[in-house]
Amino acid sequence: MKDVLKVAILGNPNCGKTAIFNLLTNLNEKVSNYPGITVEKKVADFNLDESKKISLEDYPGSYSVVSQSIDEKIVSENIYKWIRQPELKPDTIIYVADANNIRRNLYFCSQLLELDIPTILLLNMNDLLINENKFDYVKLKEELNILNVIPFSAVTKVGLDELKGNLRELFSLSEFKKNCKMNLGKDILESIIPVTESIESVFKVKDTFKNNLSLRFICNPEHLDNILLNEDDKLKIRNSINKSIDGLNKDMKPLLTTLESDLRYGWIDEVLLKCSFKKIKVIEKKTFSEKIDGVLTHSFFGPIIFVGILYFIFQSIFSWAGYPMDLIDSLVASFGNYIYSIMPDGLFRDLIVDGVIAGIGGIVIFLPQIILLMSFMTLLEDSGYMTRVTFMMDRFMRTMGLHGKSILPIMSGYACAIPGIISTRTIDSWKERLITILILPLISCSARLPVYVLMIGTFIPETYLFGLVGLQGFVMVLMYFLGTITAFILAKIFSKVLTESSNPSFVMELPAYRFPIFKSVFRQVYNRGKLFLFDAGKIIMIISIALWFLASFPKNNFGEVDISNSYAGKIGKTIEPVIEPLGFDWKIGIALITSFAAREVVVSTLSTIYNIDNDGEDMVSLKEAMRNDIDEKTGKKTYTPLIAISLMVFYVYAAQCMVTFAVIKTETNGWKWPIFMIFYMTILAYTASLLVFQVGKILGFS
Amino acid sequence: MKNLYKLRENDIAKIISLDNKNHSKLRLAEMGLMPGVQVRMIKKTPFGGPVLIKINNYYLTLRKEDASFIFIIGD
Ligand SMILES: Nc1nc2c(ncn2[C@@H]2O[C@H](COP(=O)(O)OP(=O)(O)OP(=O)(O)O)[C@@H](O)[C@H]2O)c(=O)[nH]1
Repeated sequence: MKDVLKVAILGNPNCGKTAIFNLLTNLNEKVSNYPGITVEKKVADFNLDESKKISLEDYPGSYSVVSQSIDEKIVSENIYKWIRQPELKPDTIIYVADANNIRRNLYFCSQLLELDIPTILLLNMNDLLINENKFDYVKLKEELNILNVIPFSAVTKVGLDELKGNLRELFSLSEFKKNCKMNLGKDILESIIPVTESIESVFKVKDTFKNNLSLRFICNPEHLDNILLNEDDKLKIRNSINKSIDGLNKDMKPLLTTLESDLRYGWIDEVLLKCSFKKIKVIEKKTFSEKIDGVLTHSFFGPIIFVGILYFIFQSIFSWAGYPMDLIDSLVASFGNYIYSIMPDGLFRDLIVDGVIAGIGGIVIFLPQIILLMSFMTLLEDSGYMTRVTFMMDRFMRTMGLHGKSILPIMSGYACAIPGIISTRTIDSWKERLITILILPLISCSARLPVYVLMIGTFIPETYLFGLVGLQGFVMVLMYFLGTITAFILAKIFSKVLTESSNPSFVMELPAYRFPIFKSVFRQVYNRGKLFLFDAGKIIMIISIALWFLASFPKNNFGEVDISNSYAGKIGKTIEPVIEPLGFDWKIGIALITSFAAREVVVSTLSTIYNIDNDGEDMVSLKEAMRNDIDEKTGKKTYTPLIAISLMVFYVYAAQCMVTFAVIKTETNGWKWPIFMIFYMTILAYTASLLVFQVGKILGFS
Repeated sequence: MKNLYKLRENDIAKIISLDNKNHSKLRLAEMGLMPGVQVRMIKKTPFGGPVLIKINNYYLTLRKEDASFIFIIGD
């Protein structure tokens, strides 16, 4: 009896692995209809029954052990780890295959079978199975000699009980019959003897697996660079490969690259033939997906529809979200006032009301927009539409020095740069991936939104341009536009000056359009919202409280605080000379510093500062306070529309939110690129703000 | 020899060979794009952008560079 069963879920991209992972664990994993969306392995521990513990691992989708992109490399590295240290092998593999596409899905499966790990094959999407793709799956189980082949559906839950039953039995699995494997012909085996010898000594593998592994390396010696091995072993294998290749006859050599895949598909076809599988498919027939694509990827209408969808998304974020935001705003204010009225006078009350409640209010207000944006993104991804956009936009993105697959990260970037940066892993060309990461923080993420909303709502008048376009909305769009355009221009520049290696290929599978699973859309949105509230919330809380202390002390003889003489005030005043040319005063200076933790902190920072300053009966409205703020020195208003614009431009470009750079450090393996980014973004922000403020002043704006 | 990039939308052809100049030869073969397979051109994007093809019963995108080094014969 095993204590914990280690189960790995593997399969091609987009075949439903994550959906099944969720089904088994009820854990809120992100599921989407975009190839390669699971970019790290995800682990969940759960109890099948009492005392039956399972540790489930969900791996990124792969087409082959020979990896092409970073996410496939993660899978491949794990597989080689299992080969070299069999004690790390999972107890079971759940191999998920798209039932409508079994031949290609069996390719990666057949590579895995060679590891001799007990395997359960799930023929997923059974609810979508069409007649011509049906075959004898019981026979397939016999032919592959694996534990089970189960027709499955993550939507209707067909096969779930059977799968659970199989997993239960695995706890007491006594004998394991080896999986069936492809066997190589004698002539091939003889010509690769030097390689089989070196492979045997390095990987300690035997028999069929040894031969097939050798074949893989001889077909694609570059594959060696993608796996973790010490240099001596690599050299040993490399030398043996060269020796074998010298012995091959000339006609063989050009065919070598695809030899493994040719033989493997040959073997798969043999197996499938015995399972009454119909190989010949009618490819003339237009499927439903194709008909939709006739419109959605139309050369002319396609891009227009895409822009229309984008417009709709942003429009709804700015207009629909307004109602819940106003509601939250007033709720937080009245809640603060209520607490203020019931708590005894004193320091603690000030901390709770001015520090904590004002701080939390600053984050919660922002939730409706995150939820809306995430819902739209998730729907677009899960339905399969995003892959079409990737395909359509590839040409344009290439001109800009990017990659079709940069579209998804950039769009996620409007919500938050961090998931965007992580999803660049699907871009298999390093140069384009790097450029995407470099420009991503310029895309206005949702953390900038409160800054824009505050500044525009406070200082930009509610008038209409030409009686048509609202000025406030226009300025908002302008800010997003500014970030986006600059991102593209810089991408182009980077693509000219960077000399990193680039891979010109773009082989991507377009999944059929699928109805998103409502529950999983809901879960993803819920997760993102939760992550935002708690992760960002934690940072904001800590900063709000720390800031409250810094801004509330030292007290003067009367037990009151003059905020400009507080610790925070002194810090702000120290940097004031540097930011004065941009039109910013010391209060904004404090906000700029706290923004390094997270941009949205600005709003709570300012509201904390003004609340402490006010020291009055109730919570002040930040807008009112900023509008009425008078500069002691000049007697004029501290903030003007020009300063508001200068500040917004600064936020469009500035390198803030340190978490982003920590993530970039991990993704680019070092501090080189994050430091470069902080450098260029800071210069950009400072120069742009300076220009706006100084030129604006000369032109007579205030 | 005709290459895949020249195939018109909705036309069907059979693949004869993949040239070694093709950057993603291995990946394409692993995805089932190999000599003898029937292919239908689903969509070509303007300005020399990528193409969308159908093989067996799935859809793959290819850039011009790769599609031009896949040779086909009319069906
Ligand atoms: N109709 C139907 N749709 C499914 C089923 N399983 C998954 N889907 C949908 O298929 C799409 C892809 O599912 P995922 O679970 O993200 O696939 P994955 O294999 O984890 O994908 P990667 O993480 O990208 O490798 C999603 O839109 C799911 O809603 C199923 O059994 N039936």
